[in-house]
Amino acid sequence: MSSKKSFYIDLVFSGFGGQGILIAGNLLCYSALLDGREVTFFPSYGVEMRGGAANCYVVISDRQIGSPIPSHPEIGMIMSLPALKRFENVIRSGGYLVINSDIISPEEVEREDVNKIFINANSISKDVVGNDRLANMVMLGYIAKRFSVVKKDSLISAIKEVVSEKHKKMIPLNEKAILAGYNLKLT
Amino acid sequence: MNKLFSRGSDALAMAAIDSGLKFYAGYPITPQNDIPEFLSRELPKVGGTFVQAESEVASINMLLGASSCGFRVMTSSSSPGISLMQEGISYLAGSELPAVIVNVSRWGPGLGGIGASQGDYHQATKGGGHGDYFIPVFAPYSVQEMYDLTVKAFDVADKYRTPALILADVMISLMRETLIRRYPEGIKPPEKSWAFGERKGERQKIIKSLYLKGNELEVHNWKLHKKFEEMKKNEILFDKYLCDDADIIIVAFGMVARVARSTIELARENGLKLGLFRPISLVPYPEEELFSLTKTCKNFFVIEMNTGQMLYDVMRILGRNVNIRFYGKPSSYVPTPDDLFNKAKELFNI
Amino acid sequence: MKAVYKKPEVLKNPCFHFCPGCHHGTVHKLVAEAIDSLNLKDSALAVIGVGCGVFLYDYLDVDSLEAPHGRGLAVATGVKRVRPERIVFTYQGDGDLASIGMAESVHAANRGENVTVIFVNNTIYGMTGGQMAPTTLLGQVTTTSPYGREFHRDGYPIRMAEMLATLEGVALSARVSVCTPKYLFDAKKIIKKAFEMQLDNMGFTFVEVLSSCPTNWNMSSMDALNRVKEEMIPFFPLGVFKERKMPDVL
Repeated sequence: MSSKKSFYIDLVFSGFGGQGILIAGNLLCYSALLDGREVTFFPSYGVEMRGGAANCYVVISDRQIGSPIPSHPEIGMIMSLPALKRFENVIRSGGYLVINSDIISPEEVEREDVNKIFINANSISKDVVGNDRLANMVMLGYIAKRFSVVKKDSLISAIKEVVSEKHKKMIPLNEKAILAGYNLKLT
Repeated sequence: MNKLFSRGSDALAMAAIDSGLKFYAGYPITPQNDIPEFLSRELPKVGGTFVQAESEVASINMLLGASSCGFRVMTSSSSPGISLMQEGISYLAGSELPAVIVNVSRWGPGLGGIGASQGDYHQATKGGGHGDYFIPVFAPYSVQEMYDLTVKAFDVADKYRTPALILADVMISLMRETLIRRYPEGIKPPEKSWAFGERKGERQKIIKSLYLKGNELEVHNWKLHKKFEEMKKNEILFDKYLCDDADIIIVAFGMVARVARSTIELARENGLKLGLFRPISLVPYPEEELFSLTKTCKNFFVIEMNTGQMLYDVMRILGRNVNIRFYGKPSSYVPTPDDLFNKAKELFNI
Repeated sequence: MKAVYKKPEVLKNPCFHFCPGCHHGTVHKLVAEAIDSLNLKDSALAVIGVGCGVFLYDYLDVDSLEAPHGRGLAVATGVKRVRPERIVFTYQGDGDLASIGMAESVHAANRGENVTVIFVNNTIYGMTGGQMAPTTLLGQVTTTSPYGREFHRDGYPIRMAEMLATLEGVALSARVSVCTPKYLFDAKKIIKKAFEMQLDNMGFTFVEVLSSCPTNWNMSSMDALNRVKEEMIPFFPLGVFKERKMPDVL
């Protein structure tokens, strides 16, 4: 039986292939593992090989996890308009849609019973690392802090687990983008 | 550290290598390609052989050849490919050759679809190939079980000289979670005196499944049957979750059982006492263990991602004096914990 | 006294089940002689196809593995890959190798599997009762081509030795006959050569043996022998279609 005290959080990450959706999900998982928690990661898959939708579910708990696909995740990290359309109604009532507002305009969001958080993640990424390709890490950094999902140190330490050997020199940039999101104060 | 964050398919392939896999043959088919991709990379590093065969028919027969030489062998495929292998599985059973066959099942009949499915329960458990035989079948529901049941399948295959099947699904194969790699130092496979090795002047060995003389075929088939009876005594695996006080017991395997675990917690938070009975060995089926639950519970809820296959086994085992309801989902979309909770309330009029 | 003939040691004391005039017994003996002469009794491993040759293990004292119909070369692949020290050969008929097992045969040849194939071509399904085979000649009457094989309906007979000779992985592809003493001696040499080449890791070695089936051809043994010479050889010419002199090396 789950007790109120036990830790449980479920999230969905969604966007286009190439936006680093699965990397963000995986990074969160590795960080949670460093925190000593149970984790499941479930990626969507389709017949298309490139450029299609990319989604993944992440569940983090301090108890054994049942379904890796939650009925209604609490938090959605949304990086494209199709992603919003697909998952807007899946998020649980009272949950959170964390939306990249450089890609999706706030008027597109219809639901009233969820909390909406807009982050101009592309712009922030550009400011801190010189291009907008680490918008995923900005969003992830924000989510990690805002919902106390994982410890900051774990998040930083886990970067090397998801960045391939080939892109090793990207690790400091990822760290910068994550910290920019982590320290973001939204007004 | 032996604690990893692993994908189900990788856990299975790693377990095969840790079990001393010597030979793998396979043919590309979605959604199981992660397994041959892993093994084509890793198996040669430990002195094993990976062959991409021209078809699933060739794959399973390459296994027959390599197994006859006493080595641990494996293939993996998905439903349509497993159909093609049925001939070879029947020959492996008839020739008493161990092998591990993995089905990351998808949809049928025909080309069906590539999504998560449990449509192959009948094929897996009731034969599939021609002839009078059973092979052990295991259904993992976690990444850890992808590892552990692969180790088990190799063990059982050798112990009974039989092909063994792992009936996996897309959800468990694609998901990642923590994995304890139990045998990183590797398991030493048993010596097999019956297999082709170095002959050194010994008597000729013959491995075959053709028996035409006298009553030797009858003797052979009873021998196969006796092995199955032994498996029933020794190899049954199952899992019970909160069954003792349950008003309704869900009976499910593989990914559906995994989802049902969350359903049970959800239901109990809402005051409804659900439990879960999960066969892990689908062959031999934990019949007595399931039946014994009727002492304390009269309501059973069978859930499968098909139109009702294991349902027949549950009905046969539980009989007519209990209330059995069924929810089938023959689609690629895995039901959520909420879906199953709502179905339970609907079907049991709660 | 000097022995001029001796039964091959690897040949058991058989009473062959083959019909009178059938060439399977002769081919068995040629294989036995090759195994004897190369001292392969312990290392030879037979993969036996489904057809009249299925009881080879009753006649030859070699380790034997029975393959499903047509799958001989997939099975042999599995054996040879894990036991490269064994000398692996398949013994297959035309229905087995060239019809139901065509894919397995061609791909094993193309991979250059280091195994030897003894392919017995008698232009008919013997064991099942004389049905049309992929090698049945045009006009030939069988139980499933009662009006004679006709190319519009049934296609043409397949020349396996020529076809496989086109593949890079093949080290030896030859067709022989046992219908005259001269041909028999040639056949014996080629079969031995095939095993020798396997010992030298040369790759896939293939020997097609034209063979008679008097029973299913509805002929006397003598007439059947003549048919091999007069009808089969003109369509299935004897010869070596490919012979590699060096093994494939990296």
